[in-house]
Amino acid sequence: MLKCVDITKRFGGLCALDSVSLELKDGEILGLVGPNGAGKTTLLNIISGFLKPDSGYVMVDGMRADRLRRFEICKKLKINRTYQIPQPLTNLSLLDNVLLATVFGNEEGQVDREYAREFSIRLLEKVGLENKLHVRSDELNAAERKFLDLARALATRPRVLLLDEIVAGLSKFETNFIIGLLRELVTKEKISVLLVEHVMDFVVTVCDRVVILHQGKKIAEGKPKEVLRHKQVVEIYLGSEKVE
Amino acid sequence: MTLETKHSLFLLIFFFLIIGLTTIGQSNPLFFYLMLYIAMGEAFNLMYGYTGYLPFGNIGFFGIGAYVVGILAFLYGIRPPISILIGAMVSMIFSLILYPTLKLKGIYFAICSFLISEAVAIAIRAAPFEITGGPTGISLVDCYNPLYSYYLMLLVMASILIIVHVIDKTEKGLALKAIKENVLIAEMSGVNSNKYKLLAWIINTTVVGICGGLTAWHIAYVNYEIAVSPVISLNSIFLPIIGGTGTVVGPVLGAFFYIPMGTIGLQFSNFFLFIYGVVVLLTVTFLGEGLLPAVQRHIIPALKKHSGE
Repeated sequence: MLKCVDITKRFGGLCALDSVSLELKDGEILGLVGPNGAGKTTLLNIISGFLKPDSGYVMVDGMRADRLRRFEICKKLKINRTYQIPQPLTNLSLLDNVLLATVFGNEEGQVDREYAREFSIRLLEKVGLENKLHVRSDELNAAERKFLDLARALATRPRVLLLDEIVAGLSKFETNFIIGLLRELVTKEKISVLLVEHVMDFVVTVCDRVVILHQGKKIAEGKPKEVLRHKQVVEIYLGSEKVE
Repeated sequence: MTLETKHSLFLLIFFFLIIGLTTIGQSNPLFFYLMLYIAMGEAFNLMYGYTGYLPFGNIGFFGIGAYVVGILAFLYGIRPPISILIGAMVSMIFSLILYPTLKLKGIYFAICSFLISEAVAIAIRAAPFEITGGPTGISLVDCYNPLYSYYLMLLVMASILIIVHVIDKTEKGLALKAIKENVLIAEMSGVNSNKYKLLAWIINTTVVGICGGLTAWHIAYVNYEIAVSPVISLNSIFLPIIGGTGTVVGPVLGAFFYIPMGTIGLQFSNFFLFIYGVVVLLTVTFLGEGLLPAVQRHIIPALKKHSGE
């Protein structure tokens, strides 16, 4: 469904991504793992149109994503995302945040006003924010902001969902809630998920497959448990056994 | 407060409709200027309060509107209602040419916009006197008709009030506010930001262009001091900010608070300018968000409490 082919991105002298290729299959949850500065967020930014790759391209169902503008990526390709630092539109209420995405994130004429409102409220209920519909979103705490990000992304009815460290800093309870939600989205709504994460328990539990990035290069790919035992991966995270 | 925005706007328009028929309305320029500043304030509000772009150089479009009316009458004998329309179109086309400046953000857009208005002012001054009438300006006494220009101003003010009100009440307002807050997130929510920025920009510049033409018609005269007047420029920015931007009623409140004070006060003494300055300073210092939020937060609850007892 979503294919990244030979993506390279440089920031000045730093090579953030060095011809990285990966494929996200239909209905799959793919984990993108690696130490800080490995290029994970850069890759999400390229897929979602926040950055243009220096070379390589992103294909979604045979369409070039890297040539489209952001609102087209959201609307036509049906890709949406959450952010490492949640980005609520703080001058709007929670409901308006989600309503905006519901109305503009779907093709015009597809949603009428009354339905859009109901749909937005249902989404906020789904992420447990139904008591704060009319609260301005700058009054939310860190966890609630993440849930609002998620609700806003879901309001555009994405087929590919990109999650940037969605469970970092969440409690055990909240993490389990996200796990349940993701599984439901994948089975019921056939959404494919690409997630960047440092919390390994979460990755192992929820991901079908994992890609490991290190210094902009893909170094391993496969089932979570196998990949995380991979020698080079262990070295990156824990250092090598040899002490010189 | 059960008075809805819709009703208060209706009352406002009705007020000007009636005042225009009375002798006070016809003899006192105050009411025309009130409408002028409400219209220009709302146009500014749409750009600044909703979309987050500070159109510091709106006076350039005002000047274009005014001089198009002047020049058309001077050279070709084309009379106001039509020439004002042409002025609005020229202003709109000019704003389309300046569309790339919307790529700038924050203070850079404001500076760029200001410099463009300066360029317009210089161009008007440098133009051949046979066209612009030079320092003596262009007299429009032949087509002077204060009643017509008053009611055309009313029509323009009513239109922009309704436009801003409708935008505020629909998803378009949400899109503009989202662009103001974070354009990347707005786009990722599916908003075609360029389209909505352009919408706000064109409405703003066209209305300001019309206001320029109307002012020229109403006072039957165009020269540099009027067309690119710093007073009009500053007032059109200042009043909506003082009234409270981002709401429909804010700029109306700003205009009603300051314009009568200025025009009436100045008839008595030049010293009034000093008091005017102090009042402005105090409102900016203590009511930073504008008059409307202050009224909503302090006065309305106080009234409710009072009537409840």
